[in-house]
Amino acid sequence: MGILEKNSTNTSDNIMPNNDDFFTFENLHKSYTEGERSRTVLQGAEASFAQGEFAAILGKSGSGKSTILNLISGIDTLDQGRIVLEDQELTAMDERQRTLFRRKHIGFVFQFFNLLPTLSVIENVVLPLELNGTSRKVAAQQAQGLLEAVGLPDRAATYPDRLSGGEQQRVAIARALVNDPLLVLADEPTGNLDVETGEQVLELLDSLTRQAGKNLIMVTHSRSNAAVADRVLRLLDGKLVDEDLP
Amino acid sequence: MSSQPAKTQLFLPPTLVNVGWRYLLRHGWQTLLMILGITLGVAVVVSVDMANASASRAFDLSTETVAGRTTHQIVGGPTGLDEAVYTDLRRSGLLDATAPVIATYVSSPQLGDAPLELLGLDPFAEAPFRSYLGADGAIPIDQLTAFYTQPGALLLSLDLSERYGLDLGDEIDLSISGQTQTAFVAGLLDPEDELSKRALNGLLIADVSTAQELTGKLGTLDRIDLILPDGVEDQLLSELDTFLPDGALVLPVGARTGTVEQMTSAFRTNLTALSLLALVVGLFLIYNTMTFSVVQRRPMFGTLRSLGVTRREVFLMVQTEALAIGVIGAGLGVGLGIALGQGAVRLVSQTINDLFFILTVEGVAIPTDSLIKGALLGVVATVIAAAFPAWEAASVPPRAALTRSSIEQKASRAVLWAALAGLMLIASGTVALFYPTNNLILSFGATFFITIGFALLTPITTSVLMRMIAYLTGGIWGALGRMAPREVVNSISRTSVAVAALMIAVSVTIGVGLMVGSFRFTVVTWMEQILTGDVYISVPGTGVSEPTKRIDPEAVTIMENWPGVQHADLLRAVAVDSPDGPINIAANNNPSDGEEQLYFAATGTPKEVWDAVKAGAVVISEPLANRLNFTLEDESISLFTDTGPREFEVAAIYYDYSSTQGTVIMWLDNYRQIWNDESITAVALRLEPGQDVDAVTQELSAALTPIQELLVQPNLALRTQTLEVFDRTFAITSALQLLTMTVAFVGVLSAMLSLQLEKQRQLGILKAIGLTARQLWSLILLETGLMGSVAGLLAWPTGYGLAIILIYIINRRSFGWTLQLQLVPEPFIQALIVAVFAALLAGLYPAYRISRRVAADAIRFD
Repeated sequence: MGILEKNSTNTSDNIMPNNDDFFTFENLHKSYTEGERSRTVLQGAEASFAQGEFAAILGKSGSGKSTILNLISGIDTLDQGRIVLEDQELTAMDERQRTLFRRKHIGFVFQFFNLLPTLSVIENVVLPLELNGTSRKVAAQQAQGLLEAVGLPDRAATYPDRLSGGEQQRVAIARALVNDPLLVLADEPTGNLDVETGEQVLELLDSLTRQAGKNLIMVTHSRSNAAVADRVLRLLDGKLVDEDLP
Repeated sequence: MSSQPAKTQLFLPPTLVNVGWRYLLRHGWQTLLMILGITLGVAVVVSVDMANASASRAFDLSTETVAGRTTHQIVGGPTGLDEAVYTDLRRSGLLDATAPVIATYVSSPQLGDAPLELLGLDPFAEAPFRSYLGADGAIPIDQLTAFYTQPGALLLSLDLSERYGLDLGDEIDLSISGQTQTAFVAGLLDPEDELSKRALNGLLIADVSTAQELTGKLGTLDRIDLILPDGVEDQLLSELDTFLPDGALVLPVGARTGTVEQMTSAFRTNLTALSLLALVVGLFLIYNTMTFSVVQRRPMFGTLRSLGVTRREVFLMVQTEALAIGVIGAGLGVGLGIALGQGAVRLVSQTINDLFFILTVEGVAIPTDSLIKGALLGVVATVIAAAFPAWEAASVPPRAALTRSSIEQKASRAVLWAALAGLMLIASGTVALFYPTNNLILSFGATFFITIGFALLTPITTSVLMRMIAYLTGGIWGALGRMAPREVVNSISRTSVAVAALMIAVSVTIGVGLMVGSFRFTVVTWMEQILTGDVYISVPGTGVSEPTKRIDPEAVTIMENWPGVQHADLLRAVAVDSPDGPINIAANNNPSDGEEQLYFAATGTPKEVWDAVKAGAVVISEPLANRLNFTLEDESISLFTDTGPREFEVAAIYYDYSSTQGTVIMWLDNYRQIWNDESITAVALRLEPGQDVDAVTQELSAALTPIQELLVQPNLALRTQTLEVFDRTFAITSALQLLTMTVAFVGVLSAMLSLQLEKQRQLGILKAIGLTARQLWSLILLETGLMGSVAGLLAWPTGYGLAIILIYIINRRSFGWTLQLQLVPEPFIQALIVAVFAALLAGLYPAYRISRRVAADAIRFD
C-alpha cells in the first residue's frame, strides 16, 4: 500500500494548518568562516508552522535559504538557536541521532535531483524504506504506488540518465515522500527545469504533500513559485519575515 | 510519530549494496586494475610461500624417510665408523633396535643425472626403523632375494622407474665420488601412502654390504641408527658413552637436521619479505583507486547522507566494495600463485642446492595453509588499504557541496602532516635498525617503516619539484608546459599516491640492484684474493659449495708430480660434528693461505695467524662467527674429534662468501693427525712461471680420467662457474622484482586513467577552444612523464637507503656476510628510465581514449 493511500483517510480535509506549533525554529544563528573572514548568514531567524502547512522561503542568491534547509534537516549545525519538530528538539541531537531522524522523518527534493545514477528509478525510491528496515517486497510495492502517483509507473526499471529533468524530479518527489516523512524540504525544486515542466513538478509536489498531509518547506527565488504556498517568508538580513504576495 | 530515532541495521540494505557494486561494474577498467593489483600481489606471496613450503617439506620428507623412527644416531668422524662398532653393539645386547646405515649422494645418467641419496641398509635390522623394506607384500620374494644376494642390487620406487623407463634387471651407472659403478634394478617399491611415495623418489636403496662396495667404504659405516625407548634414554646414553670407542658420538636425530633447516630460514625469510613488497605496492594501488572512486562519488555520498544513510553505513558500503574486490583478486591471485609456484619452486630449490645442501624437491606441494594465508592476506590488506578512503567517504558532509578545489585544499594541508609522519617513520625505522639483534622480522619491519616513510615524503617533494619545473616546461612548451606540472599539483591527493607507488617499486630495483652488484663485486674481489692457484681439481659435485668427495690418492700423486707444477695445495673439505651441529672444515697445506685470506678480525698479522694455525689453531669464517655469535674474545671453538670433543684456539675470523653455514680452516697435517683421515677432496696447482695453464689442464685431465672422473679447470673457469652459481642464486630475486614493477605499473596506469578521465570535461573544453589532438597527447604525456620523473628521482635516495640497509644490515643478519658497497650509476639511471617509461606507457591509453572523444561528449560527461 502506498503512503498516499495510507494517509488519505485521515487527511482528506487536512488542507489547512491545525497546529501552529507543530514545527518551530527559534533564534537561529549561523555564520561561516571563509579564509580569515567570517560571513554571517542567519541572525536570529524565527518561524513556526502548523501541521500540514506549505511554506515558501524567498531570498536572493547567497541569502542563506539553503542554509536554513540544511539546519532544519540536521545536515549542518547551528551556532545558536533551537529547532523543534513535533516535540523533538533536533538541535539537542548528536550527529548520528540527527541522521537517523532525517532518515525517518524528513524527505528531500533537490534542485539537481540527486538521484543515484547506479540505481534504477524504483531502487532510488525504495532506498529510504530499506534504510528504515522495511522488507524489500513491501518497499517495492510502496515505491511502485508512489511512482504511479507521480505519473511514472512504467519507468520503474529505467536508470536516471535515461530520464528527462522533469521525470527525474518526479522520481525525487516520490523518494522524498516514500518514507511517510513529517516534513518535506525542497531546495529550488524547479530551478533546473524549464518553466512549463517546473510548473508541473511544483503542482505535483504541492498536491502530493497536501494529499499526504505533510509539511513542505520550499526555498526559492521565484515569486511565482512561492505563490503556490500557504505562507511566504522572506529571508532578509539573516531574519525571516512574513510576506504577502499580491 | 515515534519519539525514538530509527535504528541502524546490522547489514546494509540490498539497495545500498547495489549502489556500490554497480559503481564497480560501471567503472570496469578501474575495478579490473584494482583486482589485477591484488591478484599479482597475492600471486607473488602464494608462489613464494609455496616454494618455501615445498622446499621445507621436501627437506622434512627426506630426513623423515631416511631417519624413520630413529631417535638417535651413532656417528663417527670424517672417515666414518668402523663396522665392528655395530657388531659389538649388537652382541652386547645393550639395545634392541640398532641399524647400520651407509648414506651418500650419487647420480646416474639413466636417472636424469639428478642427485639421489643412496641408502645402504641391513634388511634384517630395519623393521623397527623404516617400513618400506619390511611391509608385507611390498616387494615380491624373488625381488627381495635378488636384493639380498646379488652385487649391485638396488631398490627404487616404482614412480622413479616409470619416469625414466627402467625395468627390473636394467643396469644403472652410478657416479659416486667421480667413480662410475654399475648397479641394477633388483626390485621396485610402491608404498601406498603418497608421502612415502614422494620421499622414495629421491632414494636408491641397497643392502648395506652392496652400498659399502659401491661407495668404497668397505668395513665402515656412515652411522648407526638407534631407537632409545622413552624413560630409560638417559641411562642408555650413559651406558653407550662408556661402551663406545673414542670418536664415536651419540646424537639425537633432530640436532643435525634442525641445524641444517635453520640455515635456509634466513634465505626463506628474505624471499617472503620481497614477496610481501609486491603486496604492499598492490595496496598503494588499491588505496589510490579507492580514494579516487570516493572522490568521484562525493556528491553521491552527500545525497546518501541527506537521505539518512549514516556514516557507518557509508563506511561499510565502501568497505564492502573493497571486500568484494579483495575476495575476487585474492581468489585469482591464489590461482595465479599456484601457476607461478611451479617456477618459484624450481628457482628456490636450485638456490638451496647451490648454497646450502642437496635437496630433491619431488613435485610442488600446494599447502592449503599457504593458499589460505595468501588469500586472507590479500583480502585483509585490501580492506585495510580501503579503510582510509572509506573513512573519507563516511566523512562527506550530507550536502554534496564540497568542490574539488576544496578537497585539494584539504589534501595540500595533509601534505605537511604526511611529510612529518614520514620523517617520524624514517626516524623510528632507523632507530629499530640500529637495535643490536639478529631478528630478521624486526629488521624487515624497520625497513618497511623507512620505505613507507619515504613514500609519505612523496607529496611534499612532488609539489616542490613541480612548482620548480613549471618554469622550465613553461619556457619550452608555453601554456601547455605550465599546465602539466600545475595539474599534477592540483590533483596532489591522487598523483602523489601514484608517484609513491611507482617510487617504491623503482627504489626497490635500485636497492636490490646495488646490493646484488655490490655482492658480485665483493665476491669477484674476494676470489681474486683467494684463488691464487692456476689449476683446480675436484670431484664433480652435486651442487654443494664445498667439495667433500674424495679424490683417489693415486690421482693426487699424479697431480703433485706433474711436470711444471710448483706446488700442489691440498684441501680436505669435510663436515664434522660439534656441539653447535655439523661444521665444515677446510683443512689445507697451502703455505701462504694465511696471507691470502682477508680478515674480519685477527689476533695478529696474517703471518702470525697462519703460524698459529700451523701450530694447531684454526681460523673461522665470518658467517660461522655470526651464526655462533663468536668473537675473538671467546678464544676457542669446540669440535668432536676421533678422540672426543676438543677445543681449538681461533686465531682469526676471515671473510668468506662460499657458504652461509660457515667454515673452519685448519692446517692439513693437524687435521690428519686429529681425525686420522688422509683423504683429499680438492687440489689447487701452482704452476711454474711460463707454463701454459690450458695445456696443463687438458693433459692432466686426460691423464686422470682413467683413474677417476675429475673436474680439472683453470682458475678462470672456476671463477666463471662461481659467478654463474651466484647469478643463478639471484634469479628468483629478479623475478620478484619484475613482478613488483608490474604491480606498480598497473598502479600508475590506474591512477593515470582515473585522473585523465576525471578531467575529461576540462580536456573537452580545451578541445573545444582549439587544442589539437596532438597537443592533447602532449599535455597528457607531459603530465605522466613528469610524474614518472619525480618517482624516478625520489627513488634515488630511497633506493640508496635500501641498498645500505640490505648490504650492511639485512645481509649480515641473514647470512653473516659483510659486503663492500659498490656505488655505480647504472641502477640509478635505469630506475629513472624505467619510471619515466612506465609512466609514459600508462599515459598512452588515457591519451588515446580522450583524444578520440568528441569534445561535446567530454563536456557533457561531467
